[in-house]
Amino acid sequence: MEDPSGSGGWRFAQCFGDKGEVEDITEADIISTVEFDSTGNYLATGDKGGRVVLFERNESKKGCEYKFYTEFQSHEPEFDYLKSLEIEEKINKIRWCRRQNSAHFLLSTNDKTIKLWKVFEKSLRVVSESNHYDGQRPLPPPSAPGHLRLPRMSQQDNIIAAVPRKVYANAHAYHIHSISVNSDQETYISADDLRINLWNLNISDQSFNIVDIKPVNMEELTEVITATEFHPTHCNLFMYSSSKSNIKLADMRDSALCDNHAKCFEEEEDPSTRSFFSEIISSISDVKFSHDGRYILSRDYLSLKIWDVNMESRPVKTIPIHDHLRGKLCDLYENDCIFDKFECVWGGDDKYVNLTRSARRLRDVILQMSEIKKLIATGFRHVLTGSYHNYFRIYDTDTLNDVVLQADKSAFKAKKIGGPLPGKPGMKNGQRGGGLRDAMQLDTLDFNKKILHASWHPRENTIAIAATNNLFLYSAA
Amino acid sequence: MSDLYRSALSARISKLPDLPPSNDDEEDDESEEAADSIGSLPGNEAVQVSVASRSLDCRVYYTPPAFADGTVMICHHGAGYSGLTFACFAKEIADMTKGKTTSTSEKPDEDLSIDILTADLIEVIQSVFPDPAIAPSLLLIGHSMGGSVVVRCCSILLGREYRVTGVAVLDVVEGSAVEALPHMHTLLNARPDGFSSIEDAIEWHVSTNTIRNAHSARVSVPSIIVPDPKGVLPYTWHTPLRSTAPYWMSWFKGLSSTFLQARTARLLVLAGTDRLDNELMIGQMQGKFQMAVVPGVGHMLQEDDPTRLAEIMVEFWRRNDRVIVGVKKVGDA
Repeated sequence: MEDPSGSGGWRFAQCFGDKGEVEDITEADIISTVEFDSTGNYLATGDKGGRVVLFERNESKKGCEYKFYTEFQSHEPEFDYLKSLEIEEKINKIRWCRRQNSAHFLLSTNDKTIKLWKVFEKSLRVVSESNHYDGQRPLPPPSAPGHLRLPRMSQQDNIIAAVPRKVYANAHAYHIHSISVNSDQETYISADDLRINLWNLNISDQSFNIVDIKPVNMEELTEVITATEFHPTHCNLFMYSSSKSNIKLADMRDSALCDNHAKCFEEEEDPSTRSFFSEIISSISDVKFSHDGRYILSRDYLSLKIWDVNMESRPVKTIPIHDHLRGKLCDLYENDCIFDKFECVWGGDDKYVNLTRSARRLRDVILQMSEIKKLIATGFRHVLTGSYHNYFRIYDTDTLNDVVLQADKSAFKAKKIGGPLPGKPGMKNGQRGGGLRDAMQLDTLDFNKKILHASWHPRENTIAIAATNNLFLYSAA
Repeated sequence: MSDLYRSALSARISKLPDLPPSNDDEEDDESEEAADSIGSLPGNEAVQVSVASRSLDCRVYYTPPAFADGTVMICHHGAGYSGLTFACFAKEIADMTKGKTTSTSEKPDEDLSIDILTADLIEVIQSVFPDPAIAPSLLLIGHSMGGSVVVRCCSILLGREYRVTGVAVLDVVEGSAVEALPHMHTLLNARPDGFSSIEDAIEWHVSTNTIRNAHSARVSVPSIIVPDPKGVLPYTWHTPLRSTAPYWMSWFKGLSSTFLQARTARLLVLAGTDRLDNELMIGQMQGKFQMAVVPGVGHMLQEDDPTRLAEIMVEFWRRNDRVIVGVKKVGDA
């Protein structure tokens, strides 16, 4: 199928947010996390002001459309009196629990406290008839006991309420950056720079420490934990990545303290490319299991790596994201951008993507044939990650074809005019193929506009991108 | 990345040894270079001055003045050292004064009694500036033994009608030096006889705190080491200090009195904890010279803290250079 716009079939769908100029952004509006729930019908965003905003899929529309669902203040700024430090209310992560009844449960965390929120529809009832009022006229108070009547309630409005069901506090000395709900839907882990704790969702005053890499002498600190995630199906396995470019897979059945890893995924560094910045840029900023748990996706500053869980020595694929920044590392160190933590996302569970039922059945049969399985092992998958100047890239893991998109105002302006997605202006459709990809390498990149957070719908090709204070939705479904 | 990671990283970076300064100030070609290229000095031109009358052939590093009325600072190194010990200092002076001049000289070592050394320096100066009338005014700076040389030169130069703005003696006090002479042998025994490489020599100087400034060591140490094809180790000392022992007394005897009698502005710069001897203490109380103490440096104070020394020198020069008719300058009878 021809793809003259070079956008891989991805179309801009919606944009939520201020849409104003970059200079006027209120800091509290900056989106700090985005997450689809396990059905894809609900989308949550957290911002620097401690608020959580939920969006609901509009089922009545044919295409991809989300509408505002509810908003609540999840965390408030606090002050640690002991250390004289402010605790920011910025929401670092949101993770949904699997839906078990009509209510939604999600975990949201800031630097120090995790909260379990219950979001549900509540119908407000008001008293319509009572002993003083019969719905229309005031009544004289009853004189005899037999005249007493029970008040009648009638439904008025349905509102969406958000209530904090549990608050998991005081378990982390350092800033929490990751949480992950287990496949058993009973436990979850939270990680800060040096420790990972295991919680039971129902118990908020206790947690178990399962990983501790704090050195005895803090002056010898060389490594921090950067991300953690539970395995999607095995409830005993989880992994955590570190700033020293390794990913450790741990099995909770081994021992109570999982400091000894079951597997360690680390690629040997090529000594010829070593530089002053090697250590900083090799630090892994995010790590994710694939939906079937057979692969691990990791993001370091300049590349994405796909690891086969069975092979620890090197990744099966390495994808450079913005290699042209390699020459600018000095400047990026000066302006601190070299420390940006980009997230990485797997494409939706491709079993369900873009296939008719019969095609899906055929595909499952094919996958069972071992030889072909090896060939297409990493096929049918997509991965997504962000870059600077609001660019983000989606890669097909099989062919390594990539799509470069830019989440900024030009995206929806083009939609209004009915034109194609942004690329080099003035070029004809047919020539636009590599447009954005080349534009991405311009010297005039704005390093303040970065796509750090994104989420992919679990069942279809719809993605949500956080661009500073705006939420962009793209769909290729 | 987290603040914890960033602070751990910056703590580690700050513990790393200093990088040599990068060559990004290219407009003034005074960018420092690595130790191996001693020939190209900050802004200076190395010239070989041959003083036929004394059958001397010595290396002079000379930065010409940017403007006609500049003063020339003549720096004489101490025993066993070389003129390059003043390299960093010279750069600082040039930076601070935007085109003043410095000239440091290096001498081959034959007969090293004080009179010979003095005469050698006079002749070098005479060759570079043959005519006292048009020569720029001079500021004589001597480190350690060089201090002795310059104070003795001072009167001779004045006698020959050169204008001498001032004389500065760095880190040498007659009393303390004479007292320390018997211990010199022990000190010399503590020095290694040779080095396996120039880098080794530099490292020895830095690690024993002989020179505390690694940049300066990189520039100056190579000039005091020579290849030694016959010796056990490939490199050895250029100056065999032990053999100069007979001259040591002559260098320091009478230094204080000569210094106090010099008919020009006088400056004594000492490293941290030196004491003055009796004569100088009396002289200081009588206001006969300016004294400056530079903290945190070793004996090679022009190398350890060239910036501070340059500041002191420039101030000394500025204060004494202006000719005000009718006002007696310090040192005039």
